[in-house]
Amino acid sequence: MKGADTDDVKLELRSLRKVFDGVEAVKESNLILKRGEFLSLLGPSGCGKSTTLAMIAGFLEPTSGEILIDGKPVTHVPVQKRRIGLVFQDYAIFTKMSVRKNLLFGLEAQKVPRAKREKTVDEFAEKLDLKGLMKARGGELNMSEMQRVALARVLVTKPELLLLDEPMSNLDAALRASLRGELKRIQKDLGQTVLYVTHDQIEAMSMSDRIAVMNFGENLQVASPDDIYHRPKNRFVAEFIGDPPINMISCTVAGSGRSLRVSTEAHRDMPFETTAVSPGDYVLGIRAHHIVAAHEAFQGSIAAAVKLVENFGSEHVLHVTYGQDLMTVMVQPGFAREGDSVHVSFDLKDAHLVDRNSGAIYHPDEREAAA
Amino acid sequence: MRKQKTWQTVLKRTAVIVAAVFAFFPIYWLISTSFKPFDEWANWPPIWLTDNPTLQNYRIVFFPELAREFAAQQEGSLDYKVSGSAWNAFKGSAIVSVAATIISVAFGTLAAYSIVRFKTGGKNYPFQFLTVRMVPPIAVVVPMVVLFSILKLSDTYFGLILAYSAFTLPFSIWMIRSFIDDVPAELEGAAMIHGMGQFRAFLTVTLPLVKGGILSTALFIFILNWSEFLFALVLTAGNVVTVTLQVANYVSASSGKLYGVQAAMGTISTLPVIVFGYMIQRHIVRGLTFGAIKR
Amino acid sequence: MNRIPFNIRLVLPAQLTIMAIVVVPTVILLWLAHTDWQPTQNIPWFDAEFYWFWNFYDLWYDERFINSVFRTLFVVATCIAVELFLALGLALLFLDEWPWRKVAVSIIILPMMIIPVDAANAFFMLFNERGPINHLITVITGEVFEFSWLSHPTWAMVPIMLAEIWQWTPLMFLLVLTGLMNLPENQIRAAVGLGASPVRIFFRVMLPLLVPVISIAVVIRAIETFKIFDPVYILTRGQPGGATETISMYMYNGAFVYFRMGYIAAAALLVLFVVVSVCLVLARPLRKHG
Repeated sequence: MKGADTDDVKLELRSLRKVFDGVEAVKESNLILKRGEFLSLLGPSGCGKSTTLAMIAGFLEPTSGEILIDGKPVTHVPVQKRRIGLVFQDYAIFTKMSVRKNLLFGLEAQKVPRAKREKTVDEFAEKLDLKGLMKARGGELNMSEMQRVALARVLVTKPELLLLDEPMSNLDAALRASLRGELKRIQKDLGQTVLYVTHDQIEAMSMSDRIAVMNFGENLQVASPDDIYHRPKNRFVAEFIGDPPINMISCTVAGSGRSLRVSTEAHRDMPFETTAVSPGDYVLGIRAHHIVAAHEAFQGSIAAAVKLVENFGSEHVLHVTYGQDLMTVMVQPGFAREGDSVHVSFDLKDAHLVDRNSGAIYHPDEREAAA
Repeated sequence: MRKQKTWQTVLKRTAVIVAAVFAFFPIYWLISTSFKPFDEWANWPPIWLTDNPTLQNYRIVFFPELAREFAAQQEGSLDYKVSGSAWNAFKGSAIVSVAATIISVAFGTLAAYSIVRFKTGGKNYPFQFLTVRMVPPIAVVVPMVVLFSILKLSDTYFGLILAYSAFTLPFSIWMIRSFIDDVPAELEGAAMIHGMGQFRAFLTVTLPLVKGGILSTALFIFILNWSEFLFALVLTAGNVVTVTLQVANYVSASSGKLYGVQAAMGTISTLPVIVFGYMIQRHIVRGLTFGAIKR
Repeated sequence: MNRIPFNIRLVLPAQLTIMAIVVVPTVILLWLAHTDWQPTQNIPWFDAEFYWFWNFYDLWYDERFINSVFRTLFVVATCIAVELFLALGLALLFLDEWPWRKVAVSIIILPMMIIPVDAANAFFMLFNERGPINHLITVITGEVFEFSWLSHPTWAMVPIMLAEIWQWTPLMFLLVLTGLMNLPENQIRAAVGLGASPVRIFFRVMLPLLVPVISIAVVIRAIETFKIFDPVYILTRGQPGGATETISMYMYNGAFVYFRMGYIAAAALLVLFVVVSVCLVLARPLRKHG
């Protein structure tokens, strides 16, 4: 992303670091968020995403590094002055105030003239379907209503940057699905720059323009959902994204120069073209739906016994034996049952070669070129 | 930015220091006066810290005969009327406070247990005990004098103990109730499955767990009893003396001119309260709000 | 005895004690209040002449009594207002951690750990004509100030109220602090994020959330302050001439100095009735909060 226009950059983190009691919670983070972009910080609990958010918001002081908004350093600017919108995991609605007062709060705090306040509040109440709730007290709302109020409350202040900290963790799956769409729609509508913290890959993948996958305080990969999915840079990212999780199979690589041959227990000498890899023991990553399955044997296939069938509704996932391992294969419903025998094969053009030690991933050259 | 923070901090710390000074000053004055020799009691300008500390006042408090000699020496400038020794007062306060505390806690625990586990009397029953505290003691004291004279309880330890117990029961019931409530009934249920009777289960399972709470309640009630004044004033006639009465006597007996001795009595009489008070510091809030607010 | 259910037996000791000490006297009051019994007349109380409702009539026109009522209400309102104000201000200073915080808290709650009579004693000496308070005022104003606080009909109320405020502000402080520390942090963070100034956050977000705790504190303190007796007795006995009499002091004087027990019994009954009714009314909304 080096070539980006600098006046398009809304948020920039430069070597942002946070150390707690000798533990590096966030390691030298360098992140750029462009105006109007939706970026997710995705990772498991404790990976540093919430810590990063807290520093951007201003509630936590970084150990070192800079935070810049619109090119201006805000690292030492108090929270109130950063013009950032915050939505917390528990929404933190003002329980003792009416919804209307909740929405008006930020505008009153910023001394926006009365007429303009009322107009803006009505506008957003409309957008987020809160018209009927305006008089209700904050403490009386249900979860999804609270979320909309929390959103509206910050959006009315037209923040430079919207920070959301796992706002959907408290909602059930159905609500999450509908809110994902709504949130994205509103964001595009307003051109709001958003930084979204979550551990849910579906949320990140479906809503983000770019995702920063984090683990142990490090940004492992910052790229578009597509890149993250098809071209993960390391093992953690590959395993974290994708449902069912990617299949990881031991293999060996032989050969020299560009043309290498990958051999697993079941398949021998599959061609792999790349200059980045030297011969040795590796792990092959292949996703369930990149595996071809058939009832009869075909060119290059091997037999596999079906041990388990998971019903995902529109498709089934077969857990089949592959040598000593189990492999997941995505098929049409009704394709096979437990105990059946199927024939599977895969093309290395969709595979990921994983370095056993470093976790780095290599792809066949044509795929890298396509990136 | 940094500068503003320091200025604010300085202001805040100063406010705290001022508050601490206000909190401590009257006590300081009491203690310092208690060590002042006679000729420094009523000086003008008043002496803030004596250069000649003495234990004379404390001796007088415990040995009134000394006072009479002392007063005689001062040629009529003192008229010492308090004839009782502080020992008597401490004895009286100790007997009454301890006994009343034990009764209050014992009865209170039984009642609290009954209310929490059996919901005895319905949900409004516990509030009936609160009304006891709403009653201004003075309103009850007049008929109590009559009642006590009928029952020959006037000026007896038993009478005062009974009165104190009754008026601290609301506290003990509500406080212990909140402690028992913290222990889930399932624990007793588990013991009962093993064949234990319900009350036995309470004694062996729950009671040890609320031991600390009950102790704090006991100390709290002891403090209330020790500090009590009105009942002691009205329901006794000289036979039973409490420390609060003794302090009040010093103030009135000599039109409050025996400052040093007054201060000495004040200082030592309040020591148990200070000690126990700090011991149950954590539970004071719970106690004084009848268990409504827990830290 | 064994017919009585176990749980009832458990509450009996407590219940009976209270009935003996509180209920029986109240019943006696009902009789006494309708007589003009004065123990100095040497008639046993039950032989006193039935006086109908004249006591109550007299009370209504008794200026000293009426004054004591208003004075007590004034004391309650003022003391609570000041205690609450000081407690709030102080509690805000103790919200975050700072060195010596625990020590500071211990010192500030010291007044609560003093026997009220002793506290009054201390204030008695503080406000002496030649006491430190006058000395301080002398030093500050440059003019000799040997005012006799406790003999002045109006100004004597100051040491009395100060003693009460001094003693109980720490309790309010603890209660308010507990309330403040239990406030939902994220609501406050949200307010900060929205750009609100500390003042706005305090009045619009924190105070409304503190209302339950403050209500309990105020009600409990109001009930206790209403009964105020110890400081009044020690400092002035209600003098000069009843000018510093609170209801409790008035009743004490009436019953044990002037020995008009029948009359005071009527006052007692009146006070009992009013206080208990008001408390019951006030307690209903509080009961909702558990």
